[in-house]
Amino acid sequence: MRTDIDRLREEALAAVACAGDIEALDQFQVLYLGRKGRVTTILRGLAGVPAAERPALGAIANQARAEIEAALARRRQELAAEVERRRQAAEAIDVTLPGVPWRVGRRHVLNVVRKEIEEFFLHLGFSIAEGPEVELDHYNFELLNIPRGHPARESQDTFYLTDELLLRTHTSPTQVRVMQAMAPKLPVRVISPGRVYRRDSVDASHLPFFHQVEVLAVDRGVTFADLKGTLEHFARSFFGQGTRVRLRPSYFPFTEPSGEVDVSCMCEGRGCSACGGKGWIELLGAGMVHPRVLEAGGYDPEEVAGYALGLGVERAAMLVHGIDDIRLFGQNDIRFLEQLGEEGC
Amino acid sequence: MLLPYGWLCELVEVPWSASELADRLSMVGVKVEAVREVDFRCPGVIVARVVSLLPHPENPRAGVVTLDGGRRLSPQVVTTALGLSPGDLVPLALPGARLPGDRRVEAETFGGVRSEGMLCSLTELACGQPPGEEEGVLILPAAAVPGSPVDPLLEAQPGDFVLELELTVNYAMHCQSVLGVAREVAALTGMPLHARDHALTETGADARDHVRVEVHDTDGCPRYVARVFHDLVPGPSPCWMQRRLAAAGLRPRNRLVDTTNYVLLELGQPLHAFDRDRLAEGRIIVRRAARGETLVGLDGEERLLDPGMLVIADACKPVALAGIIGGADTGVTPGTRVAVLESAHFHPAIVRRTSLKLGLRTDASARFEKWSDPEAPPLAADRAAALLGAMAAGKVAPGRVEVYPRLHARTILRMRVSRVNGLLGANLPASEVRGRLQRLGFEATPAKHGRRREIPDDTDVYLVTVPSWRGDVTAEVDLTEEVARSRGYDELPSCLPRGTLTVGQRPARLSAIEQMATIIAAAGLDEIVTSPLMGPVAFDRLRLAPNDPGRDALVLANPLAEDQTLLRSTLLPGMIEVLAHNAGRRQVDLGFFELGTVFRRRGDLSGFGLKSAVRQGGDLSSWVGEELRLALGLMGRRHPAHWRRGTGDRADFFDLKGLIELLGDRLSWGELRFEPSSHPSFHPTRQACLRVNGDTRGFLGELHPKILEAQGLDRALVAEIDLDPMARRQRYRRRLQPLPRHPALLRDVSFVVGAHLPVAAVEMAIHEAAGPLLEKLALFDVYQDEAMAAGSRSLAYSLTYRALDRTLTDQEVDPIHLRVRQTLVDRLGAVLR
Repeated sequence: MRTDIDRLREEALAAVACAGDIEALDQFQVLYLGRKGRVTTILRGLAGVPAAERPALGAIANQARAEIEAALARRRQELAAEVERRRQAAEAIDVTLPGVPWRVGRRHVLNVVRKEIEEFFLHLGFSIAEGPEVELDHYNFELLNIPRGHPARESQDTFYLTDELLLRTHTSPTQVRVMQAMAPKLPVRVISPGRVYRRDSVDASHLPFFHQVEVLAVDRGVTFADLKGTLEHFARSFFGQGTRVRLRPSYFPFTEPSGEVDVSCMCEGRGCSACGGKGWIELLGAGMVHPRVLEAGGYDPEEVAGYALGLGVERAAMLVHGIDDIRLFGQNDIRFLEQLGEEGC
Repeated sequence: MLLPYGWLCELVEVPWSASELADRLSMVGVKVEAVREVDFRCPGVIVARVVSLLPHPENPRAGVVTLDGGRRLSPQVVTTALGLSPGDLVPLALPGARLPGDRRVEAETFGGVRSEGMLCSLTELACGQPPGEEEGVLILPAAAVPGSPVDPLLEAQPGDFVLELELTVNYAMHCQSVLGVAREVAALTGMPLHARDHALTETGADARDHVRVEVHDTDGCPRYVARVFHDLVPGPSPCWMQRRLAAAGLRPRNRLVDTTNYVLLELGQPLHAFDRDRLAEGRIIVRRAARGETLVGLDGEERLLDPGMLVIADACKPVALAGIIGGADTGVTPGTRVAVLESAHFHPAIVRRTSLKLGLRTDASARFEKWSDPEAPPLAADRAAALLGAMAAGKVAPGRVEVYPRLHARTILRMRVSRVNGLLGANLPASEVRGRLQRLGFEATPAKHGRRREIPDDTDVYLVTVPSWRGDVTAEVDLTEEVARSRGYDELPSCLPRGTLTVGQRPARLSAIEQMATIIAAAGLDEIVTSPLMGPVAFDRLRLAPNDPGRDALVLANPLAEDQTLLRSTLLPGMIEVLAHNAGRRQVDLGFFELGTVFRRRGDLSGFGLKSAVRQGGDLSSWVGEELRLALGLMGRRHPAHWRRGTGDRADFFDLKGLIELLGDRLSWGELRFEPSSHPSFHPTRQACLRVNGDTRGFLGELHPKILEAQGLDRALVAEIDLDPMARRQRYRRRLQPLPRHPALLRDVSFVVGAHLPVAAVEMAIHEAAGPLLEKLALFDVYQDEAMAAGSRSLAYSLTYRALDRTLTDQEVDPIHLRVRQTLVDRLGAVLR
C-alpha cells in the first residue's frame, strides 16, 4: 500500500510539472484530488487497513495529497504568469514613434522682451503708465525743451495729422504727462512702454514705427549716480551678469547731463557683426531730467531732480536674439514666431 | 564730419594713436563712428621726359606724346593737355598704376591710337580727383630722374587716418572743425594748443581803398570782416592742401576756393570770396532784402527774397544770402584780379529761418544756424591771407575792413559747486570743478570778491565765463555736464536708486491684456504684431462700401507711402496680410492673435484747438480714440498630420467660436450671444456678430470667398473684438461655488427637428421645460441623412439633473424629463427617436 501511495505521488507530481495550460491542471485536479480522484480513493481505502498501520499510512497519504496540492497551485501560478507575460508581449509599443504634439502658442518676441523690461522695473518699484500715440506737438516737443526751429526736430522726422497733432516720435512725452498728473507728490517712479513713429523709409534697420520703454524717476536728491546704478543693474539683468556698461556723453534736449549707454558685446571685443568689431553695442539714451522739463511737469528743479532713460524694444530684441533685419518683427512669419516667442508669459 | 588725424596733430599734441584717440573722444561726447586709413601714395606713377609731340589723327583737341620713362621704356600716351614741350618732366601713370581714391589706370585706345598710360595733373596725384579748371599736366622739377617713382617728390607718406565724427547737436556747435576737436584734445591732455604764427606780408593799396563795408542790420550781422587780395594768380592749390581737403570729403578746385574751404574745416568759420570788380561801386552792404529782390546763387538757381532774409548787397543788388550762399554773378573766377574775402558772424536764428524757408542748406548755413564763434572772423580772415600769401596765389592788401559796433559779451553763469555735486551724486572738490572747466576754456571766479589772492577750497558759488565758441552752454546744468564729461561718466559714482520704497504696479487694463494673451497663447495661437498704418485700398480689400462708416480713419498730413496714409481703424487687414504671407510660404496650418490699438476720429480735427486740449491737461480723448482690439485668425488644420491622429480636422467657425467662449468664460465677460450678421468682409452665411451682455462687441466668421480668392487663401476664419469695455473693468474675482454633495442623474434625448430651427431656440425650450434641476445640457450629436425628411436634422442631447440639497430619485426626474420630451414634440414639432 505504501508503495502504491509513493507511486501515485510520483506520477501526479510528474504530470503536474508537465501540464502545459490551466485546463490540463484542472483535469489533473479532478483526476487526483477530485471526489472520485485517485488520492481520495486511497484515503478512503485506509478504512480497510489494520488499525495499527492506519496512522502511519494515513500520515503518508495526507502528505502526498498536500504535496500534490502544492504542486498544482505552484504550477497554476507559473502558467498564469506565463499567460500574462504573453498578453503583455502582444501589447508592446514602439516607443520611438513620434509623440503626439501638444501645441501651445507663443507671445510675440517684442512683447516678451517688453515684458521682461517691465518686470525689471516693476520689481524696482516703478509703476507702468500709458500715454497716447496720437500726441500734441506741445507734449512731444515744446514741453521737452524742443521748440520749433530746434535742430533736434530734424533728426526726428515726424508724421503730422494737423499742425498741432502728430504721431509721437518717442515715449518721452509721457514724462511730462505723468509729472503733471502727480505733482507735487513724490517720488515719481514710472515706466511707459509703447509704440512710437518716425517718418523713415523701410529698410533692414528702419521701420516707420517701433517700440520704446521710457523710464522716469523724480524725487528729492535723485542723482546721476542713481541713474548709473539703475542702468548697470538693468544691463546685467537683461544681458547677463558679466555685462559691462559704459556711459558716454551725448545730447538730448530734455536731459542734462545726457548720455548714451553701451553694453559690452558678447564677442568680448573679438569683433562680430553685432558690434562691428568695436566690442561695445549702443543700447539706449539716458540723462538727468532737464530743469525746464521738470518745470513743465510742475516740479521745482531747485527742490527735486530726476533721471530718465529711453530704450528701444526692437533694438534690445535684435541684440539678444541676433536678429539682423527689423522687418522680420512685422512680417510675422510663423517660422520666425515659433523660434523666438515664448510660451505662457 | 571727416577729420584728418595729421591735420589735428598740427594744431595740438596728440599722445595717442588714431584709434585710441577715437575711443577717448567718444568718451567725452565727441562720438567717433569709424577710423579709416587714407593712402595718398601713387604706386605705378613714374617720372617721364617728353620726347616728342604729334597731333592726334582724329581728335584735334588731343595729342600723342612719346616719352622717355627711363629703363629703356619709351611709351606713347594720348593726352588732352596741350602746351607740353619736349624735355618737360611729367608724371606718367603706367597701366596698372593706382591713384589716390583707388582709381586704377589701364592702357586704352583713343580714336585708333594706343595710349600706354596717362599723364597726371597735380590734383589727380594729390587726391585722385579730376583736374581743376585750367589745370594742366604737372611739370616736375628739372632734377627729377626719369623712371623714378613720383611719390618722394610729392612727399606722399604711407597712411594718414581720418576720423569720422558723428556730432550731436550741441557738439556740432563747437566741435565741427579741426580746432574744435583740438580744444577737446587739449582739455583731455591738459596741454595747450600749439602756438601758430600767421605771418603776413601785406603790400599795395590799403584794403579800405578796395572795398567799403556798411552793416545796416547789426542784430543779424553783429560782426563783418573783409580782407582783400590783389594780383591773383590762378592755379591749383598745393598738394598737401588738396590731400587734406580730399581726406575731409571736399573736392579741390583752385587756390582761392580751396583756401576758404580749408579755413572753414580748420577753424569752423565759413568764408566767402567776391570778385571785387563785379561789386557795384566796390561796396558791401549787409541789409534785409527788399520785397521782390531776387538772387541767382552759385548753384545757378534764382530765388525770390523777402524782408525776413539778410543779404549781402553791393550798391545796386543782393550779391549773397548772408551765411548761406554767394551769388553767381559776383563769385571769383580764374579771371578775377582782386578778391574780397568775407569773414562774418551772423545770428543763428536768421540763417536758420532763411535756410528753412528756401529749403537750402549749405556747409556754411549748417554752421551759422547752430553757432559760430563771434571772435573768430578776424582770425579766420588772417589765416586765409597767410595761406594764400604762402602759396603765392596773390598779394594781401594791408589791413582788415571790419564792422563790429558792439563787442560780443561773453556769457557769465552762476555756478554752485554744491549743486554740481548734488546732481552728480559726487563729492568733487571745488578746485577740481574749476580746473576741469578751465581746461575747457571756461573761467571760474568766486562770486564774492575777497581780498585774498588764494581762492579758498570751500568756496561754493562761482561766476563762470563761457568761452565765445561755446554757444551751447547757457545754464548751470550745462556746466555740470561739462564737469561730468571732463571727469568721465565712468569715473563718477553709481548706486541703486535710493529713497522711499514704492510698489510697482501694472494698470488693470494692461494686466487684462497680459492675462488675455496668456490664455489665447495657451489655447495654441501665436501672437502677431502688425503695422498701425494702412492705406485706403485696404478698405476696398475688406469690401467695405464707399460710404461705410468703417472707412472713417485718421489721416496723416505727410505720409511716406500709399499704404501708410492712415492710422488703422481695424486689425483685420493686418491679420489677413499675415495669413496670406504665411500661406504664400506654404505654412498653412495656423492660428494667430493680435492685441492691438485701433484709432478712431471722435471730434473734428480741422478745428482742432491746441489750447482747449492743453487746458484739459492734454486729454485728447474727445478728438481721438485709441481703442484696444483683439483679432483672431485660424487657417488649415487644427492639428498637423500625425501618424496617430491622421490628417486632422480643418478649423471651422465653431473652433473660433469656442475660443471666444473660452475667453468670455475665463475673463468673466458676462453673457455671450452669437447672432447671424451681414458684415461685408465675411462669408454671407457663415458669420456672426458677438454680443456681450447685449452690446455688439465684434464679428467672427469665415472670410468672404472673394477676399480669400484675392489673397490666394483656401479657407480662413477671423474675428475682431472690441476689448476696451471689457479691459477697462476692474478685475473680477470669482467666489467659490460649493462642490456638489449629491449625485446627478443623466438622461439623453434625441430627436429630429427642422434644420432651420436654431439650436439656441431648441435649448431655450429645453431649459424652460426642465426648470432649475437641469444642471447641464450638452449637445453630443448633430446629423442629417437622406432617410430624414428634407430640411430636417437630428439632434442628441445629454441632460444632467441635480439638486444641491438632496439625492434626486428616478421618481422625481422622470416626470421632468417626460415634460422636456413632450415640449420638444408640442412646441418644436420634433419627432422623438
